[in-house]
Amino acid sequence: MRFLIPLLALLLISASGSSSAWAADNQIIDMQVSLPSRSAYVALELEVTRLGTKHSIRLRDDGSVPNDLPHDGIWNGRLSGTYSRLISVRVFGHRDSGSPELLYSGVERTEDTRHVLLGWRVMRTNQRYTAVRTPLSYPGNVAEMFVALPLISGFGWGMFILLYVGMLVRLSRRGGEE
Amino acid sequence: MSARRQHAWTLGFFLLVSALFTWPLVTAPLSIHVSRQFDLYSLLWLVDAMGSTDAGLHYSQTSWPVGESLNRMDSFLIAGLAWMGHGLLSGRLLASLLAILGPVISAFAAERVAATHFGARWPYSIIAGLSYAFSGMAATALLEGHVYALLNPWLPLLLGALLRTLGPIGSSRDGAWAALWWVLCLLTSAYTGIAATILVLVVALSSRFWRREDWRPAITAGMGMLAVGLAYAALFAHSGSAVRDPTEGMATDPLKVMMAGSVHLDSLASWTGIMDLHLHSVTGTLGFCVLVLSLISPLVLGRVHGMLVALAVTGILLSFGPLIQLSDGGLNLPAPVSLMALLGDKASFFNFPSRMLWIAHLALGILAAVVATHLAERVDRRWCLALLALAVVDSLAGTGTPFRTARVSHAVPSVYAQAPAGRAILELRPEFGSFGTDLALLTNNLGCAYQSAHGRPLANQCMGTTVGAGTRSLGRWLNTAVYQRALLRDVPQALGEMGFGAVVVRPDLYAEQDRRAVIGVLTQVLGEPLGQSTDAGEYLVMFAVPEITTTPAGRLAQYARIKAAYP
Repeated sequence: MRFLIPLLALLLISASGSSSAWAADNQIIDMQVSLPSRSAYVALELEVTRLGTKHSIRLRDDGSVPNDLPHDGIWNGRLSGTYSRLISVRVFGHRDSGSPELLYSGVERTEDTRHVLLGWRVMRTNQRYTAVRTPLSYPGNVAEMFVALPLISGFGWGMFILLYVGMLVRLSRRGGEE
Repeated sequence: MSARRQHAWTLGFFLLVSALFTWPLVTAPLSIHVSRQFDLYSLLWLVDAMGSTDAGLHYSQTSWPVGESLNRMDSFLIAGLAWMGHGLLSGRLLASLLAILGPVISAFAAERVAATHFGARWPYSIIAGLSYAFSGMAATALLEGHVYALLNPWLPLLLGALLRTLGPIGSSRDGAWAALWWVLCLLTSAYTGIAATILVLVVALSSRFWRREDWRPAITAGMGMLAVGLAYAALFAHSGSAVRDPTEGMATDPLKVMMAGSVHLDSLASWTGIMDLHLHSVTGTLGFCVLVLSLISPLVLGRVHGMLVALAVTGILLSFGPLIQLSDGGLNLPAPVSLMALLGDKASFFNFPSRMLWIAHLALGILAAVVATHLAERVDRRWCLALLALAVVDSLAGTGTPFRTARVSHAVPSVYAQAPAGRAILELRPEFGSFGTDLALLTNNLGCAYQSAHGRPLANQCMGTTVGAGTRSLGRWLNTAVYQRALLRDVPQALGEMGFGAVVVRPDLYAEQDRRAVIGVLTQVLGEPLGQSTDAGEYLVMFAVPEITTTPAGRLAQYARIKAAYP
């Protein structure tokens, strides 16, 4: 039972000191938009309303934003500041000339106190463009918004286990024969 | 190693896995939660509501001014604990304890049943605990927020007691224990109760108990379950339409609604990002280690373990819901649950078939532990111990919990403290439409969770899987008034007559032009805002409502008039 004591102590200590455990002023919201390679837009902009204040964020795909790989078709932007549970977002696309086109508008959940990752994919439907919310793979910082990455990794892991258990069965049979 | 020492190691091991499974909850259990959805907020509200002085099966401080029935609360066990604690146990503390220690207790029970009734040897019996309590369904409960489902040692204990009851030397006492564990399953949650009932049916059929001469143990168990089950059903039915508020989708196509709470074939393998964004975090991960060991069980054991296989297959088949789908679409093979279409609207009582997977997690875990024990008898022990490590990786990486858990603050916006004491608060939200039902429920439930801090009565209905009809009506009435000047004159009078003292608005949720209109019109009719705050992650604006002396009958009459006009 002796090793249980440190674990329980950790639980109690963290409970007693937990009131100041989350920082209210350094939430980071990373936003990524995937743009088709032959789209008509030369720039993307997000309009974010957070805690009653409107922010305009010009997205980048030139490597100047943290975690951005230049010219990979994933446009990145970052907003940091006071903790917010919900933000409202509008995504605009800019052509070479002319006014911005609204591609998406909606309310997004940003409840994690430390870091939130939001993703959109710009799609072409009926000769027009629209953006949809899409989940991003974890951990972030990958070149593609590869939703099924954990699933594919899972099957690889499953194959490894199959081989390992198969080896154990074979060894057990050899042991039985001896 | 002595049995006591083995148990201590087992508990310590499960505690360590639980700390990782629920990470980072252990670092700040009183100030954060780790759920990604919004069910936890209702639980926090329920615990604090049941700890209050006027707690009972009807709670007057929400769904103001009519109050709401608590007959259909999901976990009577947790509500009972909160009621007995009378406020000593806060919702936050109880929720964190359930999330961290619940899986430890559940895993230990599964491990003990695997060892005692199925011959799994330590440490391989630990695989049963990992498979059951750190599984896809456990991840679902943690991420959705119904953390009371994590404290469920009753299901494995029920399996053990049933095996004794229906075995050759079963006694009436064993039958009584089986009935007790079944009742505790039912009181943990209605879905756990359904899973327990299915487990009872499968075990009873597999055991062929009717061939025994002495039926007394089985009759004792059956009568105990029947008596409590009927009482529960009567209480459930008694609450009537006042609580049950099916949406249009539930009424027209309940099976479609059911699909959202079902498991897909891909989710049995691993998690994907889609689950958290669109599928309410429903995770069916079985764990490849457990799955592979179970699949080769006939080869290793020399026979098919009929009862455990029947439990696993039944649990998996039911969890698919009406259709077996590859991944939220595709394949679309009809599954047994599709027969529930015959029930029509009443099929919406079974919106989360995925939770039947708890049975499969338990059965597969026990089978895997038995197979690992047999392998360890014939192969070098060190090779087999690696199976434990593989099972831990399945529990953590397969369900994805350390990556998927959020770090969400429990802080409450300060503006609520400025609301007039003793009078109710109306939270105004925009119309979210059919795409935003989750967002509507999130903001509704958040308001409920805040109530434990500010203590004012609230218009929000806090129980249920949809925003309550009364709450919706009041919101529609006030939102409509923003653009219909003729209605505006009545707003302060009607709000005052219903006993409201403040209206709280979340401007960020409104589209830009509506945001300006809502704030402008409320300022015009109620005066400058009483206060506003941007702390605790929300921008809230509060307006005071003039106090009007009224009787309870007057409140209800005004409320009924608005509810009838804005259904």
